[in-house]
Amino acid sequence: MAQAPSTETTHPTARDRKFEILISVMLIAVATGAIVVAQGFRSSGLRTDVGPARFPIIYATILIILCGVLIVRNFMSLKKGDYDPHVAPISGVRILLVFIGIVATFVQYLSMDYIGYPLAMAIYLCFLMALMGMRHKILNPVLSIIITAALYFAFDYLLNVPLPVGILFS
Amino acid sequence: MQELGLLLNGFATLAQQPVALLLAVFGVAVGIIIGALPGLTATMGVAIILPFTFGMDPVSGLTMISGVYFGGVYAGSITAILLRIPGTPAAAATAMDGYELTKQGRAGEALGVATFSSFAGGTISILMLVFLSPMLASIALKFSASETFALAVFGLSIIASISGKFLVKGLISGFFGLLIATIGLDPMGGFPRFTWGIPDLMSVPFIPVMIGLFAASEAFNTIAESETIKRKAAELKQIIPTMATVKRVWGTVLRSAGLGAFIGAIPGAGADIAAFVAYNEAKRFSKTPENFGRGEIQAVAACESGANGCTGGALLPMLTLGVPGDATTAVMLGALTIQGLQPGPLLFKDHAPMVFTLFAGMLFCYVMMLILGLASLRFIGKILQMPKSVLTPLILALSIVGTYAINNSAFDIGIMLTAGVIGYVMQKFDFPPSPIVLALIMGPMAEANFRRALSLSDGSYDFLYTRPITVGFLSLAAFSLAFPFVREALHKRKQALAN
Repeated sequence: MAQAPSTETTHPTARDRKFEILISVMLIAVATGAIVVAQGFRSSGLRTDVGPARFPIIYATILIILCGVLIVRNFMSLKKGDYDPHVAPISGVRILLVFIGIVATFVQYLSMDYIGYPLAMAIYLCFLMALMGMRHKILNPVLSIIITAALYFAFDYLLNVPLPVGILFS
Repeated sequence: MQELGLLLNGFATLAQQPVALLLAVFGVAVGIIIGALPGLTATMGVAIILPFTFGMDPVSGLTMISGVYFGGVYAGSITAILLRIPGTPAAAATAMDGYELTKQGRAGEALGVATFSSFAGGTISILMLVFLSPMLASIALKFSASETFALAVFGLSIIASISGKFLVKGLISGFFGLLIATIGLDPMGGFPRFTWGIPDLMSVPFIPVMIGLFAASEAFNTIAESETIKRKAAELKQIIPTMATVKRVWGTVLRSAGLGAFIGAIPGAGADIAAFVAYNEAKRFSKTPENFGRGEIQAVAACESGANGCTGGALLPMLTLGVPGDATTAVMLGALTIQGLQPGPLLFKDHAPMVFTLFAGMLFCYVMMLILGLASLRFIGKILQMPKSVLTPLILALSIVGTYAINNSAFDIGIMLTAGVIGYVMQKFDFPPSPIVLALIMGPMAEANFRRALSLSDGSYDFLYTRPITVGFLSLAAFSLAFPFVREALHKRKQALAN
């Protein structure tokens, strides 16, 4: 009995192919940087050892080759017109929401050391829920506090994982 | 058949120890809770419970710890299937198809199959431990650095299989993961690589990367989605597998359990490797391999049976040789020491009734895991009923706190979030994230053992082609890499002939 696939098979657009080329170029840059840095690794001194640089250089070289293959394939597809011509418009609002959510998460992470887990997490949850549409004036903060407290109880109290108190409060 | 008699006596002895039975149930419950939480592993659960066994008799203490171990390995699949948060590294394999099934409204079926497969795989492995321990121990003894390197290479070749139709992108993910895995201290000389003087980069744990790639990236993706819960996806239907499902997966479960037990018996190879290898073999033997990665129930069965099949195998070298099969059994060695027991051949000779009572306790733990697992699923499944505006922040909060819990390190949270952003971009452009996780697990194992084997053979590469087990695994790896291409070519030829 065949299982139904979960996603439709989509053909990449020209924009997708260009982004893939960009990602491949970035990865080539990373791999090249890794090879350059690895040249400076000191040998382990063992006669029978290949040294600490060998494996990173091998992995980086193969990564460069594979990215090259992807770039060539995408260029050829663009040249042949092998892409989905129907480009869905980019929803700026969606991207902005995701960007704000990611930034908020990083701010929460960076602030935890200063203002402590309870405050940082409660404010973060409040903000994120509001960002995603849950803007009830009472339910939003109450849920944030409940989730923060539940996680605190489970990890700090039951499992003895000391969560950050924060420099300001310690 | 002496073992059968001893095992039956063990059950009779266990039945007369209600405290041991209660502690087994408690251990399984604790293991399930800990295994389901991201960032916490079965190893941590065993380490947390270990001090409490100090005042207990050997059977009670070791049975409770076994319960935590088995429950912990199983429970990672629950959040992996429901929320795409692998609770344990082994569950990363389950998340690939399990979460796809949840999106199709088949979360109940996936959870039910995962629970039964975990039970079946674990029980089979314990029975193999009881009846086949001399044979498995002799195979485990033949494994040296060379064989472990070859096993790791075979594990890495699975990247080709799990990449599906995005083979080049999958290989790119895999080699990117291998490059990341070299960050930290060089395994032979201790030289810091790509650390730039940052102490936190001396040892980069892969669990934060795994949580970021799977859980955080998916959470970021849902931030901008509209609040339209598909009610069918939110309900858990058909938890108990139907006969048709059992017929579909039973062969996979048996094969994966055997694979898991074999891999678990190899020191240093754990449930995460067993889960991915079982996945690969299930796909190879499946009549519908194209469905793997898109919501195939056989994939869930293979991963869970393989991961839990590893438990009995990992206990084997620990009990018979005093060599731990994986990180969790390394901690359990401590439990044996606390009880004043010396693992090794004499353990079976001098304490046979106690050892077989312990085996009976382990089988009881798996029965309890099945009951408690099924009983908790309806309750845990309520999670899906939550609005996304509450569920997504909860997932992110759990990911952050779970990651912090690994090493009490805020730096790990930064790694997790960075991996989350990378995973989000990868999702958008069809770069599969699983090869990165596989590379982070197998890459260090491959490099360390290759260099060790090279040293042991005095700089000669002949260990690559003179040792039978090494040659066998390397050949399997080559076959695994070539198989997708060969199958595609045969399929195209068949289509051309049909046209």
